[in-house]
Amino acid sequence: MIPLCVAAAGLLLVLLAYGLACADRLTTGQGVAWALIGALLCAGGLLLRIGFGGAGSAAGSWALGFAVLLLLCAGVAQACAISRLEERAKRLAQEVALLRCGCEAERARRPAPPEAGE
Amino acid sequence: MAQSTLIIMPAYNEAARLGIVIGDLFRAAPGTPLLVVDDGSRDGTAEAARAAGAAVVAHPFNLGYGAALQTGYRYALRAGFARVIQMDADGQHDPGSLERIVAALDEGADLVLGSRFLDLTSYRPPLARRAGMGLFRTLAAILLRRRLSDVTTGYQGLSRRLVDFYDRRGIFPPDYPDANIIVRAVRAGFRLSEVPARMADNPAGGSIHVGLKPVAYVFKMVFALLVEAGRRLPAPEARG
Repeated sequence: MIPLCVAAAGLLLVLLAYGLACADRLTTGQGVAWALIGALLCAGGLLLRIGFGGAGSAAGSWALGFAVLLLLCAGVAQACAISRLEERAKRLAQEVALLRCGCEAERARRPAPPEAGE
Repeated sequence: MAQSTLIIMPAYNEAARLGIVIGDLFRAAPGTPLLVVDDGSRDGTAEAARAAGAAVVAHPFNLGYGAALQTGYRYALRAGFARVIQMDADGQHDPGSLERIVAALDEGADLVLGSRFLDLTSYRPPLARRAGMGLFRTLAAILLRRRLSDVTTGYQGLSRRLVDFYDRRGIFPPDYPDANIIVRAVRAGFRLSEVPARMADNPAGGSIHVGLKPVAYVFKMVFALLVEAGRRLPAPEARG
């Protein structure tokens, strides 16, 4: 029963990471990290449930399934979690670029200042 | 072409070809305002664009294709343009197809896709890319309950209303806006139209999808499309 609870908790953690990432509450790194921890818990719980010894090909299939699950989790987190900080930094850089463009256009419109001594 | 249309051209290290591309564009659409968004190039792309007669916004460092488009949208909104057409800086998008995109916008479409597969084109992408395009097309068709011929085209026309929607926080992806943003716009209620557009093979054979990037890109885009299914969207502004 306990291994299944661990697996369920892991799955919940993945879903939570997904939800928080979608709601923009986690950075990309945090989203991926929580999703991976959740997937590992889920994989560990299920492996404990089916057992390591004597399971043979079944364990192999599970392991492959978990590997896919890990990739899926990383993908989900990455697809959703554009961190607020990253977004702000990009916005700032865009504003700088637009401002600079405006300044250059303004400078081009104005007559050149007279040289010193003229 | 009307002065109220802005052409946005995101560019990254395209100095070698940009002069020719812009020259072709101005021959096809004389007098049309053109904005080149230089996405942190190191080869003099901004200078080449200015020399060819384009307005230039230069990112201080590389922010990605989606962010370059976003900057262009913001420029268009602030400068009061009524519509935007985005095209690539590598010369793949034939300026001869611009009129068709503008006509579709004039007919009331908010988003016009310049499709490489509707007709009159000899464009044949490599098998792997075709498979990826087919996958995105299928997912988009499921989500939109409508078949589109080309959901990965970068040659698009947008109404001001849609540009305004894209400018809201969290709507437009700053990395790879592709089938996901098309699905998002249509699900938010914007009118979509497809017109045929000519596509040349990439003159220098270059692509942003090189190395292992396509694998990560397909993986990410599939999830981005799945996330679209559950996303709640703000309503667009009413038509003016």
